[in-house]
Amino acid sequence: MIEVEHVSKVFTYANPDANANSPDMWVDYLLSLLGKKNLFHGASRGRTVAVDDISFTVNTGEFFGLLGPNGAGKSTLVKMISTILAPTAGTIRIAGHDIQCQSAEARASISVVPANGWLSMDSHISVDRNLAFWGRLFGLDATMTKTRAREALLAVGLEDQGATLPTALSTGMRQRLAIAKGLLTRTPCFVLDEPTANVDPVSAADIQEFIRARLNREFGQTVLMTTHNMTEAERLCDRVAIVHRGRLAGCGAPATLLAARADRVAEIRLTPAQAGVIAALREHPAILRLQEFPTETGTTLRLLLAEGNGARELATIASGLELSAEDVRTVSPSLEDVFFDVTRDMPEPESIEELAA
Amino acid sequence: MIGTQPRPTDPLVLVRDAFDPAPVHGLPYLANIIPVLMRRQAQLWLQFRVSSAMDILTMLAQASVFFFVGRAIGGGSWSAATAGFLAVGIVTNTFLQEALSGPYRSIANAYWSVRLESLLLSPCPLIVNVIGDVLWILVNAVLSGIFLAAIGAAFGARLSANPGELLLALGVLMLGTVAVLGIGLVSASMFMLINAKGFNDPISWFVGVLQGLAAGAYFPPSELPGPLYAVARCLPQTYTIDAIRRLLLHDETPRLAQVGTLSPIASDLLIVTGMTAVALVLGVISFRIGLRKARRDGGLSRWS
Repeated sequence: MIEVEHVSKVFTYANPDANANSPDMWVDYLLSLLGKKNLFHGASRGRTVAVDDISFTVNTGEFFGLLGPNGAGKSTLVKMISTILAPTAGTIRIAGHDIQCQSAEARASISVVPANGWLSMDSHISVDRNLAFWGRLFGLDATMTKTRAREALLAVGLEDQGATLPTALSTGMRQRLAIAKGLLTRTPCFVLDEPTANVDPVSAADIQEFIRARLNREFGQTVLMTTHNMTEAERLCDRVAIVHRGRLAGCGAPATLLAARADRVAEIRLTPAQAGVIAALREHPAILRLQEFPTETGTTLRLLLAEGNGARELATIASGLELSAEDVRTVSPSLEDVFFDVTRDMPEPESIEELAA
Repeated sequence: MIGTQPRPTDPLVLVRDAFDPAPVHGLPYLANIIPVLMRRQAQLWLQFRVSSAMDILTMLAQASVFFFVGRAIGGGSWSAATAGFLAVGIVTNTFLQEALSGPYRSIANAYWSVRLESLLLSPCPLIVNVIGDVLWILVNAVLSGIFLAAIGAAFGARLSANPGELLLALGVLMLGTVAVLGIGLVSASMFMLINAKGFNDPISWFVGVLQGLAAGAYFPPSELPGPLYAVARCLPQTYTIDAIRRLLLHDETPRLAQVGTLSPIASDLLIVTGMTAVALVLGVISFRIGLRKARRDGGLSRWS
């Protein structure tokens, strides 16, 4: 179980324009010694709120998705859960261990697969030696490490790669090796940061299937996965938390989130002669989003209606614009529609720049 | 399709019942993990053995220069004592220099070779990783020391054959190493505290330069002008080298300090012990502060 309670992360940084680093670091040191520059914070400081009061719980055995665009704060959140980064406020517990007070136990209960699998292994020693070293770091004895390493490599389909250097593996294989490290140590929780971000579609599907079918379902691992791929999240996750601009915009089972918007997504087929309708639809107060998709016969519009609107309002809009009923139909919403709906009114994250005296 | 079909013989089917974490605290864990860390460093060292051999050859060539220069300048006055003086100074200085720069190099190497992230994700404390790395560096330094001592012997150096004195000299070397390791930890914390990530931090540079200049590796510190002599007396390296020389060579150079009625060796030993305690505490505290800062601002993470 992973518990995240009211977690915030504020980064304090030196304004790079006002405090450009000298090409010679020794000049920097001398300036700081002479009091001409505050080496710890820079001459000009600012702060960025990367994560703002986020709470959620990943239950034991659950497949939980952190969904959001690049820069939403997902990786910052995952780094905090991984204990690499300390939260500015709030509490995170991994399998009951507070990451601040019991960081070693928390780390011993979680396996982290960073977006780039190579970040989690030693590229100069073989796969077998990487796993052997990793097992020993987790306090396993040599015999147990060896047995479990063999099992773990078998489970991820890398049983023939023991003598290979990680650098010789494909990106997808490195991701699987990173997962094997977690299987070796039998940690009950897995955190995967965009595990399919840098792999080809075939390998991505393979990894998704492995994570869902074996890691989560068969081995019973609790999985927290970040992704900006809505389809992936919808297909794999039991529940998703939508993160945007450092805040939690929504949380729930994909089916629940979709059901809540069941009547609010529609498609309209237009012929080239009806193109003038698009401008009117864009101005309509009941329409939150309008997407255009060119087709062989004209254009298909995908509409997201504002809350409180449904099939009846859609029919009213269609008749007002003299569109035939058979060209207008409600369709199943996607997580992308949900994402747009819950994040559209979220304000910009706080970013304050302050000049030091 | 990889690994997606359950295999009847696959023991991982039982993984959900198998989480029984091994202890990651305490002396038994440390006793297990330190040799593992050293072995990993040895594996890396063997990976780059040509480069390592070249490093040793460079060091031997540089050390030989001192002996050749000493013999050329000394002329008729070159003796076993002079060769011994230089041999002990160079070997001890090499060892202490490794202890000084080792912690910083451990973190910098791990960071730039993208291994640090992995270490931070493990339950093993970073400082233990650093110490494991430094211990391997010191094992390596012992090998270098043996080569250097052999060169010294070739130039006529003769050391004390008294086992008691040899053991005591080894003890002094270990104590001095721990003191310098404390300074090395302060130096490593600069990687995190002031973002000194360029394989060159101000502490080990400054102390290293002073060590080479004033700690008495190549000539007695008493030859130094007043202010530099005062600086020399603030370095644990100076007392370590002095005590080892007195033990192994029965060196009679002017004593560095007088503590009560203690002998020069006992005085050196007492001062090094005090400096070790102070340096180690400072090192551990500054490392912890640095790590806390790095966890606060993400300074050790290359994961984006």
